[in-house]
Amino acid sequence: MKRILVLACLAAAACGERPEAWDAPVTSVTAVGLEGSLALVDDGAHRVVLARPTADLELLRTSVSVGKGVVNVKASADQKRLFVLSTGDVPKKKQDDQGPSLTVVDDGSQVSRRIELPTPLSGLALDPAGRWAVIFPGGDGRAFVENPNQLVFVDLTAAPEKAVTFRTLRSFGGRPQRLTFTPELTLPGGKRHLLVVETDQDVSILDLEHVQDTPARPEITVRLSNGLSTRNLRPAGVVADDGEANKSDDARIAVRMADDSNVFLLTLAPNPAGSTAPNDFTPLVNLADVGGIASDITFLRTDGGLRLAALVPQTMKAVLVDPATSVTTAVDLPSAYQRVSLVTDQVAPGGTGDVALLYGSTTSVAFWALGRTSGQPYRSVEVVNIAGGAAQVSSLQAPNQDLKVLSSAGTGFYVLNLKSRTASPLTTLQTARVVPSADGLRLWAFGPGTNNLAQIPVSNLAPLPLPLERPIRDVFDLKRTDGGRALVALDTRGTTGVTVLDAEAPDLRTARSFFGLLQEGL
Amino acid sequence: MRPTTKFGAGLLALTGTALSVALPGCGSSASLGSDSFAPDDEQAPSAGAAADGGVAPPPPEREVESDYEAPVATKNFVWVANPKSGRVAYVNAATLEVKTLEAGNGPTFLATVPGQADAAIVLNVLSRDATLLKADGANITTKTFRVGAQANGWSLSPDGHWAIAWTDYRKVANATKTQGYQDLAVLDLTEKVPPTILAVGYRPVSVSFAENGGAAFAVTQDGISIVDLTPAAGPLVTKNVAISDTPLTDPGTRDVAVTPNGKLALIRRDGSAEITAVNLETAVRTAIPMPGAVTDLDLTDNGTRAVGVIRDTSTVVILPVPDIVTSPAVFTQIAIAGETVGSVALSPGGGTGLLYSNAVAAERLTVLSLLGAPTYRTVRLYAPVLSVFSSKDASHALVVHDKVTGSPGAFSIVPVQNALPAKIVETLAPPIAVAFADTNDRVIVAERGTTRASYGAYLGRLPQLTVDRFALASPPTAVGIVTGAKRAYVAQEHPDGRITFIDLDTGLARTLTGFELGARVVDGSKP
Repeated sequence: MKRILVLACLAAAACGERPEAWDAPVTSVTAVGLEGSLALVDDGAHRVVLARPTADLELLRTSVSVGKGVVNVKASADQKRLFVLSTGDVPKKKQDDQGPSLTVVDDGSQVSRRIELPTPLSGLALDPAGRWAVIFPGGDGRAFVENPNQLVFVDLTAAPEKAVTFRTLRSFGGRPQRLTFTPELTLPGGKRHLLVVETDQDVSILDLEHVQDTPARPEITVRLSNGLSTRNLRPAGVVADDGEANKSDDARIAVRMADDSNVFLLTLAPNPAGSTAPNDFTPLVNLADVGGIASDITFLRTDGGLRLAALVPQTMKAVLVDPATSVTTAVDLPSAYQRVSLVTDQVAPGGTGDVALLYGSTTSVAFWALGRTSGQPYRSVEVVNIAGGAAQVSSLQAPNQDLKVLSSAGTGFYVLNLKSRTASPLTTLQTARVVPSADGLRLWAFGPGTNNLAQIPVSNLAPLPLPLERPIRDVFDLKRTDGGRALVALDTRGTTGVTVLDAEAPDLRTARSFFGLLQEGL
Repeated sequence: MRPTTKFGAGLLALTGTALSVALPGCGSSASLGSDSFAPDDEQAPSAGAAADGGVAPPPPEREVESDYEAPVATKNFVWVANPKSGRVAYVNAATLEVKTLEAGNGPTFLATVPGQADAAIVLNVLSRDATLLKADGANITTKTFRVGAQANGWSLSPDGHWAIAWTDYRKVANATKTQGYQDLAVLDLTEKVPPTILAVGYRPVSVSFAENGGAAFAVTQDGISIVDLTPAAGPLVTKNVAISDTPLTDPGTRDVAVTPNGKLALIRRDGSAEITAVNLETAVRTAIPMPGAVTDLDLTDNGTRAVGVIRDTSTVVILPVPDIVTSPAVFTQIAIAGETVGSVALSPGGGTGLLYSNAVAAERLTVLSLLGAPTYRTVRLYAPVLSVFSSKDASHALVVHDKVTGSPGAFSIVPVQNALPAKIVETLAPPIAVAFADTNDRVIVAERGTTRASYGAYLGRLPQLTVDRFALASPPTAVGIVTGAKRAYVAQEHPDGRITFIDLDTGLARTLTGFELGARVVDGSKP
């Protein structure tokens, strides 16, 4: 809907110049839930509207200016910051035209900080540790000529004039597909965070502690083909592990392939004596054939030591790879699970082996306990049958971190209790989206584009139907200004409206609705 | 007919960096056979019934022949050739850093260069040249030599001055009778003399050097061709010495051992109760009558004694060299009472002979001390002997056992210097390779079966006789020890190359896979 249509009468009566925002269309609104605010990105007005629910279910609205041409919006992992990436005016024709920028909005203080960028790019990757934002070409074809190997590093802890570092990755023909920040790794030169860049044919490793060095410390590129054929191997995901706590030569990165049965293991070892390599570690390459294309990988601990686990749905096996020797041990699985997630902390903290949850578009999930028993390299595979598969798994926060929500494209979902290994089915009349609350106490289920909404308290899993008056686009369980919780349901119609309920004691009679949120504050 | 097996008689200590299979005995002995080789199964060591209903005589003692090429190790590096890429990978066994360098076209056959810490030479079979590789820390230099002739193996002089590339016809599949493989490419690695191609007798089976580096000896079916390496103009074949009175007829299977000083060759023939000594300077042959058919003959590495075994009477003969030529009847005979011995393996230095038989299912190893007056003692084993290896100091031997019904394989570690019981270790698959450390305190054994679970290696600690098994990800092909890095290595079959290093002290295993990939890591050290 066009803002100019909504405001037609006012527009017709107005005279003289007015801010261009009044004439700008309300394009597709990006809504992002922060810790205590719903952020609505109003690109036409070059702003973000932050709506904060209060104790009386009022919404406090704040407008924060952002750069023109918003191309990417993300919240930090802790949902305390919002990142808005803008291209600015492209091309710049006037002196006061904007350049590309990254706006960082703090949810708590509602204060924003805009960081000018050297080049308009659309990809945005955020460091889970909160220090880095990396901007890269998003491949959206905005520029006539684009170098896909450009990266812009923004140090979110540095002063604006020192925050931005521009790098171009060396390329052997590949272009970045995915960026992964590793956890802190103990490397020969000290503790480091690394950025792993997967291109469509190789993997590059950048030391984030030295990415701002002058002269630039180059990245390490691990080429995935041996140069003897035209075949390129395409990486499909990476995982990292720090190894033993008291060792600095056993951190590892594993790479699975989209089109090959080998997984690559890179041990980050010290440089040989006399080496002139600029980085203070070097990857030792190892391969392990897991017998099929791995759909997911993870490092895990067994009582035999660290292993890389690779799920191979094609063979209905999980393959344990000893990263030191490449020796593989195949474990038959009862189903072709595609995803693996460690749940040790929830089900067996302090045990001698990890426990992994195996899932996918199968009619069961499985708990895979890795402690060894006589005659087999794992303790058990315990199956929990479900219908419809578990294409998506959502985790609940403390105090209910033992629960996971298994959902699929079908009608219904399951609440899986990791400790009791029960799966409680909850059926829906139509495909539903399930949103866990940040305080871990409840689930919200709604039918996208419908009025159907229900609250499911985790304590009893008794759904409370809460049909709204307007079709729901998304829901956000937010922290209120008084410390309580509010559910904010976003409308699909109009220039952005919401319905606000008390999340802890929802009652349609006390719910409040707000319309035309983006018409305010211009 | 000479059988080929992976293990057999005549094998001695393979220590340090050596690949532990397939060397034809100690010193410069060579086995010369007829055109075809029987498969292993035809020579299974069983005492079957003869066609006439009597008891058939046991088959000949089995020799070890190499049937594959493998990596080689120098003091600090393991070198692996990749014929497809035209590169040689060299792995720093201490840091596990992998690098590659360009060789010629089709680098295939590698050998270490004696007398140098980290030098190897590779034969490039397609470009018919050789690349000398020398590593000095992080620096590596290469030098290419023209070879010209077809070749599949190397012999190098003890001082590393000379390298000879030649063809062992036994490694050539379907060699026709008219393929003589008579060319030797003689390379002066000091580059004072240009590469020379020389023709020797028909189908050489070994090439060795005199210890002073002045001559080389090619044992062929026409006799022993002697190459003079001293002429300023370049090496020359100066003589061919017949090794039998009937050189125009096939004398049958025979062993030829040349003394390190190059003056004498000793020849043994299957079924013959005679050893022939040939003076390589005068071509004079001396027949040395033996008390029975000699089933094995070995020469000490200093060339002062030859030890022969007569299985029919379980007798060992010790021949003084060269005195045996002038006094053919003066030699020592020792009857090994109550045992069957048909093979001998001499320890480095020649102080100990390990006597056994793999032609019958003998579960015994006899240790013959050659220091001073010969004495012997017999060690009881618990499975038939297939082959025997000695540590460099002859303190221990490793016995690879032959097949036993119900057992996939086994080996025993035998204390030789101390009269202690042997320790037998059952393996998951037949052992295929053995190497002792130069320090004599470690031994590595690889096993290889038909399933993934049966690929493994065993690290033995001496003198404790403790053995640890290491599972391998792919079939092993060779083992060795990189002395400078204190690591054992187990090379394995893998399309991208795979090698597992085992720390000799900690026992920690690390595997590298994908030499080309490892070498293609771009770390920014080069512009």
